[in-house]
Amino acid sequence: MRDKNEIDDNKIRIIEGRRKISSMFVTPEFAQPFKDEDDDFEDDKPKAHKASAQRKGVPSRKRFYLRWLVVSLIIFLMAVVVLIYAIRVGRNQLMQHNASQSYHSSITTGVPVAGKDKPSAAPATVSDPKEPGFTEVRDTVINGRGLSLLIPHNAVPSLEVGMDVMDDTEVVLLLQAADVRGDNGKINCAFVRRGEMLTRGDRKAGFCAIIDGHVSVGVERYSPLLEEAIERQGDFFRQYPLVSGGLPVSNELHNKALRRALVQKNGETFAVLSKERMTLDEFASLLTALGAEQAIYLVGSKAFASYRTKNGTNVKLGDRHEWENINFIVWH
Amino acid sequence: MIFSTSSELVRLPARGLVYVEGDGNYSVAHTAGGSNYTLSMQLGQVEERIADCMHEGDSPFFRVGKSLIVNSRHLAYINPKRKRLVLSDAEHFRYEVEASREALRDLKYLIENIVDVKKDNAAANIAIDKTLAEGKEADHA
Repeated sequence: MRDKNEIDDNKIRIIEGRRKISSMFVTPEFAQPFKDEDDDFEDDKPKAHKASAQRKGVPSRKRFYLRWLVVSLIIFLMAVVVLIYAIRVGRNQLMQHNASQSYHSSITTGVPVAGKDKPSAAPATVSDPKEPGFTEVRDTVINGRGLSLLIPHNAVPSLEVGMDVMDDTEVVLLLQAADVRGDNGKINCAFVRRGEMLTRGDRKAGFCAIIDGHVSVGVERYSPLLEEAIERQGDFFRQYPLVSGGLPVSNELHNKALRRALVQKNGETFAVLSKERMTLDEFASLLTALGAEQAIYLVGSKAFASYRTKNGTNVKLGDRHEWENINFIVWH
Repeated sequence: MIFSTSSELVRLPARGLVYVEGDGNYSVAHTAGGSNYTLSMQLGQVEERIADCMHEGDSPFFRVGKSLIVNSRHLAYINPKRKRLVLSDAEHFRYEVEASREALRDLKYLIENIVDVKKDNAAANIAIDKTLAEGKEADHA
């Protein structure tokens, strides 16, 4: 088909515009020829503004809905966070309530040691050296989970190293204290016995210092009690921290096992054993609910332990391990 | 300006259209952005479309010969002897096209002698013819 506007190759022609000047004000917005884009929003052309406003009407409606969607989402997330926080606070309060209830206690008896049955004496205080030492056992349930409290009476603690003490029937209470490293058989972290530093290390923040018969349990990477124990022929060992200042301390170990702890509360020092497997954090929460002010971990699971009841019964727990550096906190 | 066929639509601002080349039943529009669009229409149809979009007396577009439409706003260089026409904004684009010597000579003459082509395209076309005619007479004289 031939180009009806064709001209000779040697000719030129201006392409005449056909749009009338007066038609400018009703021009559809998409056919704005020969106008700079900056001229589109002149004050004296309200219809152009209206057209442009209409053009933006559709996307602004979408923006409106999107904005409200984002706001609703934020409000929902905040509500979820508040709900979770409220549940946790409520749970802690319930645990505190359970701890405030009086314990139901029972005495656990084992095989009596031959020739050493003694009638129970009058109740003795922990610090009464004239009365024979014994371990009071109290079972309790906190937040549905069973715990055993081993409270030594009329006995003084110290640290012992080696297997011999496991056969000592005069022991009032014996619990494995610091971990023994599996790679080299040495005691894990700082350990001082009778003023002699056997190992070093402060990777575990919890500590127990026994100086002149006085027990201090705390959570501190650097404790001056270490030097004091050395100077004053005392004992010192480190373990995982559980409770500090009445608040649970989080640990990164998340496996479940039977747990044990050395606890201080109201001036008393005693041991707590879990009756079921749990993580360290769960155990720490229970100890907090129990009212522990300070607590550190003691070797748990099937670690060897023993105690003597008020009637002289010697009770042994766990398995014997033939480790050269196995160590215990022992009440005599 | 909108160039629309059954299969496609190309929308360009007037100042963004630098020149259009005709090639049979197709035309290629070259833009100030450096891109080009092949339109399924003859150059005459493109010319019609441009005329529809331009206001009276406000069109900078020239048809040059059979196969060229140029936007005079972007004329940068005309050399009739070498048949060279350069369209550029001196910044972002530069196109060099070829046209007949006579057409380029007339274009050059027009640009030099007709001050305000925009005012009235129709009158300008008449003036073009008149000026060209006078010019040729003067040349021959």
